[in-house]
Formats: sequence, C-alpha cells, structure tokens
Amino acid sequence: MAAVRETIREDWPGADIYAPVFPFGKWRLSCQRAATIVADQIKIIDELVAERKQSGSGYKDITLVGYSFSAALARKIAIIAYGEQSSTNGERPAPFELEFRHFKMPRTWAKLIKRIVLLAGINRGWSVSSAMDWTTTVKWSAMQLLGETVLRGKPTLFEIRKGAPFLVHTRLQWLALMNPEYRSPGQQPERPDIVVVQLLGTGDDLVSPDDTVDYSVDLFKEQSGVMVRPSYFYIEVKHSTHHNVIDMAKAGTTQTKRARAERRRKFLLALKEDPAILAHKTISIPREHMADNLPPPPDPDVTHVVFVIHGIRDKGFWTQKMARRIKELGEKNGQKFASWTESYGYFAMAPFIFDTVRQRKVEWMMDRYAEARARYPKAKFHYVGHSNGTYLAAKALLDYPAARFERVVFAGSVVRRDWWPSFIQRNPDAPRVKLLNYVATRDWVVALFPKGVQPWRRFELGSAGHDGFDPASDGG
Amino acid sequence: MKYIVGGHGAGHEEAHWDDIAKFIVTGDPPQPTDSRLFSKTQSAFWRIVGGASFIIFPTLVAVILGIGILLFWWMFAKLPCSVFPYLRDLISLGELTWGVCTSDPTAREAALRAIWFFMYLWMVYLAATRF
Repeated sequence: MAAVRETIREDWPGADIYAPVFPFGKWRLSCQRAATIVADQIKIIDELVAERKQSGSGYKDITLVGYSFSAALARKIAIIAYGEQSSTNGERPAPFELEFRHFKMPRTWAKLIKRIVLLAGINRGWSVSSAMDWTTTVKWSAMQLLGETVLRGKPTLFEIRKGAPFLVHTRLQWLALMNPEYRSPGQQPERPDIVVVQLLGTGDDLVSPDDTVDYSVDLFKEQSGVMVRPSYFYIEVKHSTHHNVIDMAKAGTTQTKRARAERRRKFLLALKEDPAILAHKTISIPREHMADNLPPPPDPDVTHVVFVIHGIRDKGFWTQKMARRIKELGEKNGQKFASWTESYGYFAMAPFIFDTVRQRKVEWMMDRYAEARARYPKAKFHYVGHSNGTYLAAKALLDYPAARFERVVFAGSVVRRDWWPSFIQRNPDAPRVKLLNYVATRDWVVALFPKGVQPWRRFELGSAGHDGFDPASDGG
Repeated sequence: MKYIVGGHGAGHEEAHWDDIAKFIVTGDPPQPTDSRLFSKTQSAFWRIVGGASFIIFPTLVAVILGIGILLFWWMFAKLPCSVFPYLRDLISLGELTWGVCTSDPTAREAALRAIWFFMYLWMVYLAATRF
C-alpha cells in the first residue's frame, strides 16, 4: 500500500494519512477478530479527530481507502461510525455485533466520511471457486482446510469468507445505513451522503464484478421516491490483477509503466472526482453492463419472503412446489410472497457429520439471505426447512443476530433439543420467532444419527426431529 | 404433543403442504385431527432405537471402520517382499519381524486383494458421497 499512500500524499499534500497495518496483513492465519480490529480503529479515529480539533481547525472530510479484505473493514468503520440504525418504530433491521455494544451512538466524525474507495474490495467474501486458476485454487484450498481443521475457523480471513457472520452483518448493516427509511440514534431518517467507488482490475479473479450489494442500494431511492444522487461507482482498471492493482508507484520498470500510470489515474479519479463525472460511462461501468448475472432490482412490493431449504440425501425438488403453495395462499390473503428455494446440491450423510462442511452450507445460505434482504427491502422473512435445512436456520438464528425469520417450520429436524431454549435465552430482545416443529412417528434417520451424537455437544446435532425441543423457560 | 405419521421425509410430503402454507401465511398452527396424518404416539421400536442410539451409532461407525481396518490388514499385512526386499529391513525391529514378508502372495491372492481393495474404496466413496 506504500504506492497508494505516496499517490495520496502527492495529490493531497495537506491531508493527514492514517494507514494502519493489520495483523492478517503480516500473517495470513492471524486469529484476531475482525470486529475487534474495527472497534480498535474506531477508537483511534476518535483520538485522531479529537487531536486535530484541539490543534486548530478540525477535518473537513474523511475518505476511507481499503484494499482487498481491508475494504470490508473500511466499510464497516463507516457503518459503526453512523451508529446502529433503527426505524421510527424502534425496529433494528441489522443490530450491531457484541463487540460494538459501546458504539451504538453515532461518532462526531461520521458525517465527515464522504467517500469510500475500495481497491479490489472483497465485499461479498471469498470462496474457492472454479474461476480461480489452479495454483490459486490449490493454495486457497489448503489454507481453507488448515484454517477449518487445525485453527477451527478462527483466522481473521475466515470472517470474510462468503456468507461468514462478519461479512453478512456488514452487508445487512450497509443496506440499513443506506436505506432512507432508517435512522441513526437521535437523528431523523436520512441517507448518508457517502460515495463508494470500487476499483477492480480487469485481470482480477478473486473478486467478481457483482461482488457487492451497493448496486441495489442506489435503487432504493427509485422506489422510495427520495431523490438522491448515485452513490456507487464501479471502475475497471486495465492491465491489473487483484495483487497489483495497488502498484501505482511512479518509479518502476518500463514494462509496467503504462499499467501503473493507468492505476494511478483511475485511483485519483476514484479519490477525488465529482460523482456526476464519475457517473459518465467512459469512467464507470453502468449497472446494466456490470455483470450478466446481477440480481434483479429491489422489489419493495414483496411483503413476505419464505426460504424453503431441503436437507441431506435430498435434491429438494419439493421445495419449489411447496413454495408455490405458500405463494398462492399468500396471494389469496392479499400478501405478496416471494420464495427462495435454491439448492446447495446433494448432501450425503458422511460429510454432514463434519461441522466444518455444515458451516459452509450455513454460510452459503446466509450469503443468499443477504442477497434476499437487498432484493426485498420491505419484506418479512420466514423459513421452511427439512433435516439439514433445519440446522442451517437454527445456526443462522444463533450466530447471525441480524438474521430474522418470523415463522419457522422444521421437519425432520437434526437440531439439538436444547437449541430452542438456548436461542430464547441468548436473544431475549429478539423478535419472537414462531416455530412449528414436525416430529414423525418413524424418523429413524434422526433417531439413529443426529441423536446418536447428541451427547457430544461439539457435533451441534440432536434429536429435535425425533423427541421435540426442550421447553423454553418462559414458555416461548 | 402429536406426531406426523411417517419417516424422515414425512414433514415435507404433499399432505402437509397446505398446513405449512397456512402456518407461514397466517401463523396458525395445523389442527392435528386427521388420524391418517397425525398420531398420538410414536413408533415404540424407533423410540427404543433412539434411546440407545448413543451406543448404536458409535458402534456402527466402529464396525464400518473395523471392516476397513481388517480388509486393509488382510491386503497389506503380507507384503510382497520379492518386489520390495528392503521392506523386510524397514519393518523389522531387531529380532522381531511381526510375521510380515514371510511369504509372497500367489497371483490369485494378489488379484483378489487388489479387487477387494478397490471395492472397499468404491464403497467408502459411495457411502461418503451418496448415502
């Protein structure tokens, strides 16, 4: 990042540059929690702003620049700075994590954040995908295996794996922050005036062009009738990969001179240019050209969304048929239902036993959940799950405080019997979840396998689908 | 508490779709009146199996692994020492030779061992990915 700092210093000689080096930058398998890193940075920025104010005039504006993983941290800093968002009736659409319990009020410098520049920002998270070249695939697969088994998923990098809690919360909190209907504590509902610019190399095979929820954030305004200028710009940087998009130094080899100049030019555009100019199609890529597989625009007319998720040893064709039945009934009742019935593929019994494999499925689902919240900003969410599908919801409700399912149906549940009381105990102020648990007369799968490992808490499996749940203490 | 009649997949069978849809749309739980769909009692056999599953399941896993270990030992305990003569020195510890490399398998034995080995691997693969 030295070249980036140098570029800023040259172009903005009067700017103070604060460029922390995070532990995961030095050691890939560092295990410091991402939320702790962000909380520490907020405290440091508090001090920097206070010092500047004491020494004379305060800052006029703050620009956050993040590269790769740090892009997610930069965005999170902006989110936390604005405080926890809520609706006028007190509903919290995306509550802060425990680490931010002392940061629920907005910082004095929040409104100084005018721009976030993401250099190859990993917004949606990483995953080992077929889009990677084979050396990257081998390297990332080995790192993933090591992190999951030996380090039990604790490395900081696992917090930006696609669908991981930190990242899903960040995406949901960003949606809440940029939604003009929500407000910071003690303030009127208002959308912050923050411009986000994503710079992505044409040769980047780690981050896909549709890697962000920002595309839908700008579409909120069209439905809500509030006119705000576009806030998200996606700029491609020629001759650049994920790793060298930050190499914009003036000095260097002749072979890379053109590429470095291109990166520097694009970076300065992202850093300083007026949004009206950034919006020009010669600079940023219009939404319709961003990616062929971008989700459709948000639909605020949908009042309810139901996830119908299949279980192990099941292709899940029934999910679409059941979802149709729900939508039909919803229509008769004057409600507009949408459904999410995507399959995570055939899931056999043996891999199901391993919590690391199940965790990947949870993250798969929560990645879709964040997408669904972006697509259906006004909807209430419900859930129908069978077998492993019940595990996904149970885990999501425990580990992702921002995950909201109001009516939940479990069938053939493989969840532990004490999950329900634990959930109630750990989420006393969470909106009440109404749960219908189907227990069969001859469910040998649950009776034998998940129940067989229930005494060992580490497996996180149990016999709720055979014995029912333990009663919650408050009768919930 | 009432049970739905059937096995692991009973909850997502078509007979319950209307009840589930009603619960999701209105929040009203189903009325378990139809005796073809609901029962007051659970299968006694599967209750007993469930009660002992913390023994049955680990035993089942031990049996499957045990079969694999036995097959593995049977296939590789008598190593083909004429092909890899240094194995005798490698595996032997002083005077102890643990009975390995005492005789070479016949061609028929070697073929059978190879077949069993690949069958076992195939079964493990199927069990891990399809069952």
